[in-house]
Amino acid sequence: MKKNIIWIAIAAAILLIAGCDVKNGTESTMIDLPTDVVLNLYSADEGLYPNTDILDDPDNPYANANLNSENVWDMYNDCPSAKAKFYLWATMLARQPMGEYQYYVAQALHELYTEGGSANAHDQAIKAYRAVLDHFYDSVTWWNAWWVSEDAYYAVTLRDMVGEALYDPTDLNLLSLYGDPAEALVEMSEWGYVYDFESGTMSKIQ
Amino acid sequence: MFRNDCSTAIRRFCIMLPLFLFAAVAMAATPDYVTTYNDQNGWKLKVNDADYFVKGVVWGYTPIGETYSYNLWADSDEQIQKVLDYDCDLMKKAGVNTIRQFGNIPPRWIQYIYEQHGIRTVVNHLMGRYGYNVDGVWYVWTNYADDRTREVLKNDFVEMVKKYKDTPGVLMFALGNENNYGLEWASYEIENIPEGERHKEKAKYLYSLYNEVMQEAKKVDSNHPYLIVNGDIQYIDLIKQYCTDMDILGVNAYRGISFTDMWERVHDELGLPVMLTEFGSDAFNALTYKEEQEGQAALVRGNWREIYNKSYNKGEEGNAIGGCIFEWRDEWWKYLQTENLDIHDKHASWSNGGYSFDFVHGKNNMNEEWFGICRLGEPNEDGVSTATPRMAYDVLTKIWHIDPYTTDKNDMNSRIDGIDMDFLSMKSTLRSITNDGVGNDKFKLAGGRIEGDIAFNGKSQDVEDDGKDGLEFTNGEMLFLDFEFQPTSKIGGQFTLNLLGNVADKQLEQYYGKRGEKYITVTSEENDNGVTVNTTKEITDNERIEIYDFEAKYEGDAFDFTAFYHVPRYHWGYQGDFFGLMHEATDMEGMDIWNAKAPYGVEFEGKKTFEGLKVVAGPEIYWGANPKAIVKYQFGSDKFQYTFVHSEDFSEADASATATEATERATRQTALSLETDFIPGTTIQIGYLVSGTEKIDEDYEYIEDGQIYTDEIEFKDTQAAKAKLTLTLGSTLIDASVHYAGLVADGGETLVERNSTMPYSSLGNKIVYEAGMLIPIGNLWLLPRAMHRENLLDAVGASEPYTDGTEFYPGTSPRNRDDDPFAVLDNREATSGEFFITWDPTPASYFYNWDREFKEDAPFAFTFGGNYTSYTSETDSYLFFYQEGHTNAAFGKGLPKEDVWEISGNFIMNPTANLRIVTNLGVGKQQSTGNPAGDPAEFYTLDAKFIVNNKHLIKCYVKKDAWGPYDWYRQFNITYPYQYMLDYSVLIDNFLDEQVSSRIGYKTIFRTLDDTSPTNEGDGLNQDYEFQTGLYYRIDF
Repeated sequence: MKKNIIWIAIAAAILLIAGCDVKNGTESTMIDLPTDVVLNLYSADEGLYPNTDILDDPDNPYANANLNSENVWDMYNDCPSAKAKFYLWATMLARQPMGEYQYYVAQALHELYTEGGSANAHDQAIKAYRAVLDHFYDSVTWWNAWWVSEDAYYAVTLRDMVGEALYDPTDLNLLSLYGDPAEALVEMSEWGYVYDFESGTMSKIQ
Repeated sequence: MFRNDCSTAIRRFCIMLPLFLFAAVAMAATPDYVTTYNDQNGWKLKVNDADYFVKGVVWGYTPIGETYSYNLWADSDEQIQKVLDYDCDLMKKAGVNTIRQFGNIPPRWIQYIYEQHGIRTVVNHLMGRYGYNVDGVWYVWTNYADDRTREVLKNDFVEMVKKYKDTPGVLMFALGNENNYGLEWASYEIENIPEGERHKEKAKYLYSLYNEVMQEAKKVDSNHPYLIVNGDIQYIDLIKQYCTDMDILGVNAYRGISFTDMWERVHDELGLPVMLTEFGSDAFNALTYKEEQEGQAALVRGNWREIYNKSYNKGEEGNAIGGCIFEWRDEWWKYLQTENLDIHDKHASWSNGGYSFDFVHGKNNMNEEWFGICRLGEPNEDGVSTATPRMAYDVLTKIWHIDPYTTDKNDMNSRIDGIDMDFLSMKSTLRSITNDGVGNDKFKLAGGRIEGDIAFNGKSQDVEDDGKDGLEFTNGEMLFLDFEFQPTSKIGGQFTLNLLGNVADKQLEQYYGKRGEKYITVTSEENDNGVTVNTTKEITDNERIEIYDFEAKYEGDAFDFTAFYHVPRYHWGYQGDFFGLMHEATDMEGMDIWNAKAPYGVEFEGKKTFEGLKVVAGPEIYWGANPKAIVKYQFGSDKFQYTFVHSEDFSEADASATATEATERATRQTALSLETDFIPGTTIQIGYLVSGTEKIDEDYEYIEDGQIYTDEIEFKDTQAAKAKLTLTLGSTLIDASVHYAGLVADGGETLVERNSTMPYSSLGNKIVYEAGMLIPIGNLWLLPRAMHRENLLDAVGASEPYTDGTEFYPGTSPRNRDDDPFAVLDNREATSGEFFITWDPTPASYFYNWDREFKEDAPFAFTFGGNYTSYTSETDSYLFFYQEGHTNAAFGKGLPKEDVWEISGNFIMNPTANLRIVTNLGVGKQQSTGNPAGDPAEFYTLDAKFIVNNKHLIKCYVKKDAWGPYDWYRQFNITYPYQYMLDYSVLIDNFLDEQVSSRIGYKTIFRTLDDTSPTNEGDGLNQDYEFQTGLYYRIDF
């Protein structure tokens, strides 16, 4: 009897899987990009290194996109909203942890806050700027030296850009994340950094 | 007085010399006339009408490190003669007059043994005892009921008799070797009989065949008697009924010190003379776990005393005509047969209460590798494996010098009883002390070797720029020390230490010992002025000593427990692991060059209550394995074997198994399978697998009709089922299988038989149909095979994303096994066919054994054929391990569709005993195994090995447009226009085989470069080259 039961179990399993239809997925050839200013976070640290929950966030239109370090700039230029930019850069950060991507996550959140006043975006932007300092302190981004040639670039340290964005983002056409720039300096010092707003340089507290 | 004596002596000499020469010539030229004689006093054997009492040994010669397939007769005449002279001298001194030899001894050597040493031979055909080749097909269980099998056996035996009948020195012909214990074939008619009766029914076929064979043989040669070699006197009634033409009953009897009622029963129930074809005792005490010469000697003395007393005219049954004691010298291959061949295994593998000196109920006490009356030793200066007499040899020497036919019974017994066993014990103890290999050591240095090389590296550019200064000189040395330990009877093992001297920097080879290469460290510190200062340091003493391998085993009553570290281990494909979850790990050389330490773990193997249970766990239980545990439980009956296997990874390996092979995500697999041969001649295997359940709910994409779809892994995607049917039709072996595997239902290694080159894959996402045949035509095998594989979902090609307003088209990128739950790789859609032919006239040395290049003994054997595979779909992206980042990286693009092919051949030639040639050729067009850049390689390869006089070893290869020598060259699609290698070495201890011999050699590797070669090795010009040349040595001790 035991033999028969095992035979039957094996046969049933084979029949079961023989009848399986694997193709019942959801079409995802085209995805609508978000244009609103409401930010619902999938997890508290979404968009912050080393968290990679952004890849599981069902709202993220870029989660399965064929992005790479070359075509991401085209996608960025074509982004219809700050919220879309956030998902774009956060996706890149999760796949290829780089300071540059973390900075642009922060900037996209900052922009989203500027556009719609999202409290989530506000708080997450501050966390993202801090993540640049904590995890990518020496990272740089490259700016075009157009006055030299079209293909010439120079390095700009991200930590200094973070200092500017937190202390006084008016030149960036962004709202300030703090009521008073001094508050930004205090918070940065609590994180262990000093921003010299006159020279525009960030340094660590020894 | 002196002159008188002298002249008398000369006269006598002159008279005797012609007589002696005549007798010698007569003896040398004439086959014996051997008969049995019977009167009221019993039986005698007579040779040329003279009484002959068989004082024999079962003789064989298998050196340490060899197994049953070793063939002395394939060696040079000079070497065979040395072996025979060595052994026969010792046997003759003891009084041996007969040896029993299995099958393949050439007649001229029987004649030699007889003419030079006066020892006759019982020529023994095994009659399919350990399987038989019928029309080219090897049957593990010989079917004595099958008409064709009977015909083949009968013909073969008669041919053997024709071959030997006129050979001087042949004493008699024997059939089988306990074949009554091996009646396991399946048949339609007999399976319906109750189990207890089945074997008896089968035995009728055996004994009736025996008699038919003897009848036919006697028509060819009636000058020699015929006997069967029966396991004890089982089925004596059937023997009486069927073997009416038998002259002598041969019995293998292991009843202890007495054969008890055997003589009486044969006398009463059969009425024929008895020759003991095997009997004796092992010389190892399973209780004290020490060699036990005294116990063996006492037992064989008792045996021979009884044989003598049961001989002619001793007032008892009178039916003993002698015997052949088992055996001449130990055989180190007996336990496990193909493993631990250089270890004198102390494992007791069966139990026998007749051997009281080490018998305890419930425990095995018979040590198969210790039955010799001589110990097996290392080769002497003539290359002959030594035979060191044990106490039993000394005792038998005294007994064999008594002639039972001419000695009074009381005198005979008194002389046997009077053998001074204490003195002989002391003598054997002294002999043991003066010999190596005493098996009592708790810890000992068992051996070792020194290796080293002196080499030059060079590149064309450097040589052109700097001349000889462009060459780089390098040298290296290392030492291996082998230790064995046996602290208790239940715990034993071995380990090897490796010590490095210099580490050679050979540029064109990977090799063991590179762990000790010098390297530079950089440390950064701030000085007092706050300035960061980098300090570099060259490390030259890195890891100079390491444990190369280690194995320790506890053998208990309820289970065995083994700890293993970098020792060969085998797959479970023949133990019910239908999906191949346990991989084989025997490529130690391949692992060594990457300093891999697999297999590494512990194993529990149950006995008694836990019989069938096996658990293996460890950091890397086979090469490339994640830290994991595998549990296997086999149960069922002889006809229905069920196997449950569960494999659970604990984590992902933290480094590549090689330099570039990607690591795999941790996973789990559970399999249940059934194997049955309830239909005779047919084996059915059915299996069900659940694999990768940790991937359930993971997203994946696929493309259908140009649209991208996203889905999640579900339970159904983790399931697989496989069924395989293997059947025999006439002499043709046919197999057919179907395998369905869900998207993530990865299995393990496919069990590849007879060197098939089909593109198997362990990955899921497939439906596979496969069929193959083995068509034997005599010694020629035809091996066609075909396979078709479809994917449930195809690979996802690369397409660029784009944005159109607020619509985002995400594009696609090829899947990879890190970021996606599955990927289409070597499991891609394929239609494949192959056809090989194999010629092997000596099937005892199976051509498909891994060690065929060392062991195949046919004058000419080969396999040749080809494979054509059409890959009708592209792959997703392969991964490689990026050492600097210590992580996997994707190639980013898949391999394209391609039709590939390969023709290959392996040829082994032994044209003379002093020359061996092994060649392999390959021609083909194949794709990379990772990097999609570049074209498929269209290559030609030819390698060859020559061994001349067991002393000169020449290896060479030529390759055109082939990948470099290691796997990663193919992974990255790196080829060279031409590659050459020449390696000549002199085997110093030339009688050892090439695998273990000390040697001094010279090796050169040369290869030309082009733009598909690594960019850091040349300027991309066809005339560029690089080379490495140097001397090397290896001294074993």
